[in-house]
Amino acid sequence: MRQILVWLDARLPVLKIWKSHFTEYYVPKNLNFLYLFGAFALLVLAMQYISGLWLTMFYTPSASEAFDSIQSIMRDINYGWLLRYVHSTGASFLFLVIYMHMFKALLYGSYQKPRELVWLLGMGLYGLLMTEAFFGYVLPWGQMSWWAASVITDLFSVIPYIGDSLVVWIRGDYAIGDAALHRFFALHVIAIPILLILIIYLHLAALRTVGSNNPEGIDIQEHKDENGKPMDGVPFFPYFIVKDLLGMVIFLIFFFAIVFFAPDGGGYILEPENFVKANPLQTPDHIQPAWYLSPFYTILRVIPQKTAGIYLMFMAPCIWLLLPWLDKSPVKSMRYKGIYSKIALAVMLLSFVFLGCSAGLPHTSLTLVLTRMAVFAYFASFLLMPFYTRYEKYRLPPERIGGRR
Amino acid sequence: MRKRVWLLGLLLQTTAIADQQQLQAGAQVFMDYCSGCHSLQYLRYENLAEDLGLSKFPGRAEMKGNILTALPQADAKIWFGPVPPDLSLKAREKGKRWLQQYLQGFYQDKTRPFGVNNHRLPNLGMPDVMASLPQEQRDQKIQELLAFLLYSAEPQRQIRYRMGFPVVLFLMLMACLCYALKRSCWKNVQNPQ
Repeated sequence: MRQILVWLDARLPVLKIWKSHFTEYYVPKNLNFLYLFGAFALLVLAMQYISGLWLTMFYTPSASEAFDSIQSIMRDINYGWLLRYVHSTGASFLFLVIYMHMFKALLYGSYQKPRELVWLLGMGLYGLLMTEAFFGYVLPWGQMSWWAASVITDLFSVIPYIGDSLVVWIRGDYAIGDAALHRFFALHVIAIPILLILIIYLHLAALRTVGSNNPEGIDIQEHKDENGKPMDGVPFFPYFIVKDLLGMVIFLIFFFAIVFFAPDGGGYILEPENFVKANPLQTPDHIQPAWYLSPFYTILRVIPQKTAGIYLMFMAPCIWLLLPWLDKSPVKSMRYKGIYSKIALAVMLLSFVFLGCSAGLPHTSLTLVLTRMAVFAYFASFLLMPFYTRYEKYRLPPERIGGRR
Repeated sequence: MRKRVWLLGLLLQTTAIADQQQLQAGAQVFMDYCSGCHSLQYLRYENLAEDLGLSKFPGRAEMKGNILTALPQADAKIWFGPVPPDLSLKAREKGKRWLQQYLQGFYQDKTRPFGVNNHRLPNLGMPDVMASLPQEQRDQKIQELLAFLLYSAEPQRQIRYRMGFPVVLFLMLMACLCYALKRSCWKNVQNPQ
């Protein structure tokens, strides 16, 4: 065994990497439950790649056969139903995990200097993920697949001058059809997965260059012992390998409980309307995107003017990109920020969740007013950040983790 | 210890394949009252026979292939208006409650071509195929049919329940082991949060 290692190390920097990224890479010892979600994201993504690969072996990406091929996967292929449910449940779980992961960053100021690039790359990943999910959703070629594809591609017509030609170019035809399905399949299976791997690599590299943040927002590199090791950190291996492993196993309990006992997710993972083959001549009663895209779609829905609605919907996730520069607070963690930041975070969260849920509410004038207020509150909590973070009263965190000030 | 083994056995029992009898009855109802117009294109006779424990189909020498209806689509358009839809996935599309309300929701309406209308699907093109049955028989047949349609929409539903229990139990066991590992690794770290 040792011989193999020596042989390998002469040809690839395995021992160097093992030291610099595992046994001698120091991570703050106080990372809590919220810090598991990055690892969970990798886990779910790996499951998506593997289940997706197997599904690709049996799925036919043509308008006439797509729906039937999925039924064949569900009924004829051995454990095809399991592959399908892992993939569809995985998509929803991936978004759940990513939202928790982003919430952690918001809570502890992980986007602040020197981690702005980690944040930007992460937001790029979020955008890629939404695109991947959109393309993937079209592939079963159900009613919702076709109509969602139609509505979303139509949004591009709002771009001046080139809008209408752009829509036809994206679709490969005047309407969503075989051409669109083929190219969405190619993008979903090849282009975006490759881009995801690349950007995840950069995201992790940027993170490991500066090290993880922690719930106290303290920099552990500031206090090192006589050997140059951070006193408030522990090596990634074995401490966080072991902790992430435990977290992943518990996560998988929930994941597989859903896969085996409730893969429809109460109609939120597999929507009932999508069990009907796509019919361009019959509009579904409620066209709505999957739950994870719902807040943004709601913004589109409640703004009365089409162009303004589309631009605002597009701005809603983009404004997150500006967070490292909107946040002027001298402290990172919400534990030490002032009361205004805490209120603003609550407003941000509640309005986002409310926007997501309002797709299910009846469309009365009251809910319309409330939803528009939520849109306003959502943007305000971001745009006012430079002011309330600069002028609020904050506390300073202790010098050491577990210390007192 | 013995109590736990017994409990486990009970757990696994309750997820066993439910009522092949009920599904057989439901299949009978479907063939008698529905298959004249509606297909089950994603089901095959062979698979149905295997899942429901049927050795042969009464009145037929051999049935093979997808369960299709003999009703010509072109004629159906003229006779009914909308073409009777395939029912393989209806139970997943509408849900059990909707289907129940639909099947029980027929009422007489002289203004309609077939003399009936429906509370759940107003101005529908389908006649009331169970009109001649007394209420009790009708109720029973509808229940059997519903169970069968739920099976048609997802034939492996019971299998996935049966498989889910050992998977989740195994993961719980693994979680206990991993927790012990984590504790033993981290015990030396003073960890004020």
